[in-house]
Amino acid sequence: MFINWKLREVNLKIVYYGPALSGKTTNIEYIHARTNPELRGELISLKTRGDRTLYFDFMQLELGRIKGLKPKFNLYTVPGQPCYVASRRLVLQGADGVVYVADSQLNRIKANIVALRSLDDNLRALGLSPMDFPLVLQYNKRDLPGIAPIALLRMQLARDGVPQFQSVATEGVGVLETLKAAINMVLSRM
Amino acid sequence: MEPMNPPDALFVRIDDCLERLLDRSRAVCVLLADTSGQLIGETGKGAELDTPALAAVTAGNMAATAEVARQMGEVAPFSYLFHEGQKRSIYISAVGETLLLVIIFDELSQVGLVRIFARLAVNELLDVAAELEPWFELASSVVDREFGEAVAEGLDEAFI
Repeated sequence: MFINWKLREVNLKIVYYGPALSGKTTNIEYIHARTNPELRGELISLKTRGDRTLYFDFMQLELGRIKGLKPKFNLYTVPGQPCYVASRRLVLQGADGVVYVADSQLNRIKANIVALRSLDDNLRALGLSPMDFPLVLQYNKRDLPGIAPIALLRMQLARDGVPQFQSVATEGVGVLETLKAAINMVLSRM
Repeated sequence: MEPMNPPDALFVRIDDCLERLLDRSRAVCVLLADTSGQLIGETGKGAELDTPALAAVTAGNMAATAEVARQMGEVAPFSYLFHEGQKRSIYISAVGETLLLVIIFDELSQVGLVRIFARLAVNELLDVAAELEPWFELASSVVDREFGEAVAEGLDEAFI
């Protein structure tokens, strides 16, 4: 969290993390589309020609003043493809909380586990403790055939006390709930 | 409880420094951000630009080139970056390890001029940054349960 004392703004950085094509950018795009235009900045996407996230997506969402302070939420995604490991660590710098977007498809279970381990590794590399870091889990793509039962995803990915949500990001199901939970979790840990 | 604030004098010094740099270098806009992309101060014609987004992507730019420097075997990140555009150019300089100074300028200025005055500003800002550092640690003191509840309500109203 960063406080701009002069402008009396509280800035929080939330990072959407997860394996390639799990729906991180789709989450941010939906949030951007649903946010009151007066309260949001431009959605910035650093993409490859193939429309895949190269570095990160970014949007800022702000609220009116609360107790004299204006909360601003900076939402980022990381690139999911394995080759962009260095970029993921850079985007995680200064993060206050992480939304882990898991792909519910059975054939992506291993990719989910690998990406979650890489999140832990990157947090440790930044001097943070993965077990204490504010994290929300989102089981995305619940509308697709061939998805894993929630119990299996929980067993593979969840930790005690981590809020979990089911979602269909393409339709916005569970997207705003996940974001709100992440922000609440970050603020309650302060 | 009303949170303790850092002295206004620190922000006056930052503003003065940014405005002096804007004036001397004949720049369009000057931004000060932290290395994670949070905007701290701005002066000039920033109103026509999305400055929070600029702060985020310039911080990303600086972070990516720091990794390039490491891969090249450099012992320290690059101290500044310069990108020349057709109408406007951007000069990004590290201010110690925590802050970034961003200068956007057009044909009314030159990179040499910007560089000279950016160096002077960086030295000045390093002193202010050292004095502001302890206040960053106090950031969490302003967030309490009541604040968190009000944010949750505000979020409900932010979506259409």
